[in-house]
Amino acid sequence: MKRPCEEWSDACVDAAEDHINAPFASHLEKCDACREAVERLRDDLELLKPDPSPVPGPWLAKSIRHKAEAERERRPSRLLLLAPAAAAAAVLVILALIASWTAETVDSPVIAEAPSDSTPFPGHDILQPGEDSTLVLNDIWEEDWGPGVYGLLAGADDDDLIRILENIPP
Amino acid sequence: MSKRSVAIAGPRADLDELESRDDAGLVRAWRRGDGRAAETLVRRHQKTVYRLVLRSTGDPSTADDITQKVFLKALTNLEQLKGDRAFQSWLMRIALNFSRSRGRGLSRWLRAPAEALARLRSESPGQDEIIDKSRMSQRIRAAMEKLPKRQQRIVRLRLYAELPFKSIADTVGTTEASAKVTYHNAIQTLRRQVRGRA
Repeated sequence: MKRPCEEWSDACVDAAEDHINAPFASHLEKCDACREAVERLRDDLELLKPDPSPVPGPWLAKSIRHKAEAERERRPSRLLLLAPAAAAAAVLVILALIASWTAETVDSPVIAEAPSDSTPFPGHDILQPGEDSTLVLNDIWEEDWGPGVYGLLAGADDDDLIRILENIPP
Repeated sequence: MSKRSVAIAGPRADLDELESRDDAGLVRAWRRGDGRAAETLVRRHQKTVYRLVLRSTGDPSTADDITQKVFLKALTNLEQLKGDRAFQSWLMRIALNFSRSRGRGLSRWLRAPAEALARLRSESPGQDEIIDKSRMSQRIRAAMEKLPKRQQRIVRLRLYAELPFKSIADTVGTTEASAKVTYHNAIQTLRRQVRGRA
């Protein structure tokens, strides 16, 4: 079995779903491998296609609205309780980071260092120069990080996130 | 004049006006405290979320519950939805995270009762087709769990949620073409695992 042409891989998907475009149509006339790939993909999608799904009941939207409104009414009081503690904790963390950074800067001579290939966090590549931080943020999933770290990272600004992933002090 | 016609038309006209807004407009209205905007957002996206959850878990009795949790988490944590990120992408990421953790436990449970299926087959020969279909669904779901996470997300968003590739790309943070290539590779892997051929 020949492999389909790599540059047409996305067009194979469209064609298998009956959205074939003109350039790919003319390519298909000449390429047996791509034609075979489209047929195989169509066949596989037919097998993998799940049964039709029922629709959620009409009560669902109202129920969610009422619960969301109730939750929102509860929230401010909880925030009022948590905000001072969270602010104090954040100030302590920032002070500790600044202190350790200042100590390192004062104590150690400046040494030019090649960028490290490893990241302090498992499973994530370090940001490369010029890489869009949004891509990094988009690559954070609860299943990779666990709910605690995920919550922290998902709530962080892009700049904070780059610092966390690159382990750069503020 | 316009105020008068709205007053005559009543709540129905208000709802029509909400329906005509895009997601960003509804999110702003909900942030200002308009509960009907939240309800409109749910109605707009509930089918997609429900499909994803139901097909990921294979369990209708928990699909309603998880769907509610997904929307509640999205609607009550909107401060995490920053800039011009689309509400739908944000919602589907939450739905993927929720349905995956529940689906894992469930599919382990689904693989267990092989003897029960064999007994049912011998007792009711007419059930063969249903049993085969159920077995195939289990195999597909199990094969899906073995895919790399990125492929898994894209396949579930396409096959289960039936999202267009543009929305899938926004949700997983890639381009539309790249999402399609990943999907194509994932289907080839699934084929090998489910059908046992290259």
